[in-house]
Amino acid sequence: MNRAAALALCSLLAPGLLAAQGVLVAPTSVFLDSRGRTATMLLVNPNEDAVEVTLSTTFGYAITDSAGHFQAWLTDTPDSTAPNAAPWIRIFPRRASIEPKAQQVVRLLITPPPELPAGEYWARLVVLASGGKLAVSAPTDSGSVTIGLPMQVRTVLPILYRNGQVETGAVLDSLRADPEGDSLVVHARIAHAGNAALLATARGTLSDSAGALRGHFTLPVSVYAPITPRFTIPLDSVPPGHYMLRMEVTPGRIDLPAESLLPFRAARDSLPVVIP
Amino acid sequence: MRRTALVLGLAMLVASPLLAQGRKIRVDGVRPLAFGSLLAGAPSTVLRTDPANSGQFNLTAQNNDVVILTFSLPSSMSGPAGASLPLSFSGSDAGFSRSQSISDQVAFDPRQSYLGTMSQQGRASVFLGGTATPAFNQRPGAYSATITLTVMYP
Repeated sequence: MNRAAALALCSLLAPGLLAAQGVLVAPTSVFLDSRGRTATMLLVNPNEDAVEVTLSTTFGYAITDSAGHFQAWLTDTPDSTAPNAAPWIRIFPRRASIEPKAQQVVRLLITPPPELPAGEYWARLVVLASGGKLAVSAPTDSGSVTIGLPMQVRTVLPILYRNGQVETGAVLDSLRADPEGDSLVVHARIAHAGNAALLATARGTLSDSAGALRGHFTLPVSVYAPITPRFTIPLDSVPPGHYMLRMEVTPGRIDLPAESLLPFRAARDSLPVVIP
Repeated sequence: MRRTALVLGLAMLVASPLLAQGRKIRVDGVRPLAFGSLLAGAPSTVLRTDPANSGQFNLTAQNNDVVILTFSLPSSMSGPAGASLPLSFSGSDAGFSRSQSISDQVAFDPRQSYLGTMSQQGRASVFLGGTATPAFNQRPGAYSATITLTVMYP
């Protein structure tokens, strides 16, 4: 083998080990308040290999970039004015090795400081799951290289602690829409009022001059800080013409228990749209 | 301390019914991103549509759940005696599939977050491709780096 011309590089991976990374986490959101300062979570390893799990808390939430795409913003050192509940949360246990087909109960206990002002405080539970260390085979000859690219999974879930009187409200403004290719791209600014996050559903409809529905979008939104998300409505079957875009941010979430949601008045906006 | 133990004990008693009502998510690493035999000095690219070599994660949650997907991607792999092997990812090296089919993906940039919506059955898959660029004088040995997928509920 001519090492100068052709150095054989082989990636020798062990896919079976990766299957062990999967861990089931439930529930996917945690709500705590001054009357219920504990929560229980369940981690299940449904695989044939043990999985190592590390739990921690951090601060963060979903934001949007300048193009309206959602991003995960996470930081261990938020601004001192941030409603950060992460330092108050204790996790039992913080690390666990879960045997195949076994489960691990995890308990969360929040101990907020005394005299805490009324409001909602946020944290994120981070569940890091890793399979066994990836076995990287020894080089088969002096000129070979082995490559190991183990993959791990981090599941990040919201924790909301409500202290005293909490309320939220929906703010919807800056609605605009632009045809882009075969879609109508809709942007709007959504913010929350009050001292709690806005857990809501954003809906948009595109109607023709006769009032017939020609397109729509629906998305659950969690608003911790103002966001300007991007929504799209397919225009494949929408002929050129004048239309009305209506958007609303309403209470209710398909993915969250109703008893955990705070009531608020729906916010609505509309905009005439021309499809060229 | 005793009060904490009491609180935790009570929490344990009510755990089962609460968990029975909770929504769940499971993320499995199905297949690692794998590079086959490479020539020194010749970059090798694995497409996200490669059924044998692309990386794959499977997500199982509830119908229409929305999650933000973020990769932590290494720019190189560490090898023997401090050697490194460059690894790069382009703007369409990741794919999201509600049908969990490698032939039915929506491309996205793995260097940025992506908002994914689960299928009606609560399932989805994420695929990953990339490029390894060995040098002409790449040092033989074992190279490794970890790819992390963060799945965040908004």
